[in-house]
Amino acid sequence: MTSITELDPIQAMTIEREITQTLYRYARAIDEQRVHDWLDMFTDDCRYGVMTYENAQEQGMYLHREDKEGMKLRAAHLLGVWQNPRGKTLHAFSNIEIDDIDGDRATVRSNFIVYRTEIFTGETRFHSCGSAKDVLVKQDGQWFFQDRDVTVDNSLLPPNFTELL
Amino acid sequence: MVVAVRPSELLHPDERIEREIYTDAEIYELEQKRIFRRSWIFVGVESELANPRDFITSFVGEEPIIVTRNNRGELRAFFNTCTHRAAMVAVERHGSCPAFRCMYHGWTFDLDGHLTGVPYPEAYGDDFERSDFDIPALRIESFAGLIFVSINPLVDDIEEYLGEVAPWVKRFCQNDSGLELLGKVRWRYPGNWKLWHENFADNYHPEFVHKTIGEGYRGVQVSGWNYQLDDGHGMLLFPTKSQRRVDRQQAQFVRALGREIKFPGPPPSNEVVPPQLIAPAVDSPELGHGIITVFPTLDIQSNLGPMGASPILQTVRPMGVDSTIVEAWSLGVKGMPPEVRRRRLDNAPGVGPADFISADDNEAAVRCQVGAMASGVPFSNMARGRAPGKEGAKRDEYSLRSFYRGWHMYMAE
Repeated sequence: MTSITELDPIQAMTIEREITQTLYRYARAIDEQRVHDWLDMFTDDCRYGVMTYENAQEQGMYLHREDKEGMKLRAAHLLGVWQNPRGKTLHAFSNIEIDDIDGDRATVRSNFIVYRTEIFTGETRFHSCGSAKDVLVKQDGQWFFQDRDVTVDNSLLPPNFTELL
Repeated sequence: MVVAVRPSELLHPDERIEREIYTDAEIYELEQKRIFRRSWIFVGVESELANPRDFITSFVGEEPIIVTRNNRGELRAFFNTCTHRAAMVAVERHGSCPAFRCMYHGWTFDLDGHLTGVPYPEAYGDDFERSDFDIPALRIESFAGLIFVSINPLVDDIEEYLGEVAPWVKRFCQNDSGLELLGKVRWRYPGNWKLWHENFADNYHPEFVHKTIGEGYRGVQVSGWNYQLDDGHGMLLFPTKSQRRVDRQQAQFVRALGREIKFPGPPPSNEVVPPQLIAPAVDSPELGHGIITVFPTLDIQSNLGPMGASPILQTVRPMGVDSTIVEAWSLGVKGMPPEVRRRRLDNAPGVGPADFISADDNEAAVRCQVGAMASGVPFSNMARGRAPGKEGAKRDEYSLRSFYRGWHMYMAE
């Protein structure tokens, strides 16, 4: 484990840029509803989990936590198994901090704010905000999510919380 | 709206119900008085108040309450309001404390709601009696590990109130090892509180609203029983074995995604379980799954497995005629194997607005609320299952009508 501050500044900036761009690419894939691209940004041995802040203070129950196959099920639901109309989401990612670097593996913290627009009414509402802890691994020159652990601050959820985070 | 003079006309003998019950603010106000102030409301499970001095805050209808375990280990409930100037005396969802001190002027109440401290009491004069300012106590009873509170001092004991549904609540909730609260999921939807509750008494909808399971039910004869019970409670029962064509369900996911998916467990059997004709008894080993609707706001879904009853509890809290908070309790069995506990913690099972099943129900509730505003169609129909009696098949609506008979009974008085 190495703190990014211990790296050569050019190397550190390069990694920070790569990881920041990876997170932005992730946000855009979701906002453009490219669920296959979302899946492809994760390694095959990945985990993706979402927990409310409230439950994070208690026993740690996730709303859902899935491996790659479980994520495919979620993707299938987003592609029409769920009857909820898909919203237009806007994911804003910020406060990206690289906690540590271990070769081609980085632990990253970030914040997010998501707004969701109902496609039929056109109304935009706050959907969620919170933080994510990601483990990213570099394979063949590209960063992939190995573990994305999302904590949503709004523990009183909106009625449709099917959007990806 | 002339509800005060014609509540009996809201429910028609031919099983139509006036949609104003979802949209009319006066009916909503009347519900607060006639239903929420007179019935038993589920507020939590015993394990949330394991030790003396533990407390939870909750609501009965829109009214804030505190539930405590006092120093003698007894459950107590009282309104969550200072008798001085109305401020809530506790705001945490749960905690542990020896007393509640109001943040406004420092009045202090013990775990029974008795006023024990008033700063500078001399100014109130010589005839000031602290006990005149105790917070009024509420009825509280525990049944099968579930805690109920009532504002009504004259309400029947909980077991009598539950009546016919009592043995089933016990069967589907009581676990000899004790239940552990794993977590809660809470959400708000823009719709009337009854729309969520009635969804649990309706087993006509699942295969249509939930495409995730619908494909598995297509063309399958399904066993399942639907009961109209007394006093507004309802029940749906299902046999042990899954009756779905899981292979078709899975094929649907693969089709939607356009990619292969590896499903856990052995490949599903194509054998369809023949429908059983006789409804299981409360102690029958054939009994697999039950959904109980306790009037007016508690929904129990429970599986009976090797570890005994494993319930998920949900309540609806009215926040206005078209706004509702749903709160779901995910429970595990104390002492369950660590891998089972991990699995439970990884997936709030079957509840919440991000769930494969539950998200669709929210969408239906939201659409019903808006649809109910259309004046040209003033009624909803709940007439499935015409045979006389109190018991029907899975897709009948005896259980749904049961809730509205109870609703009507309370509202008409």
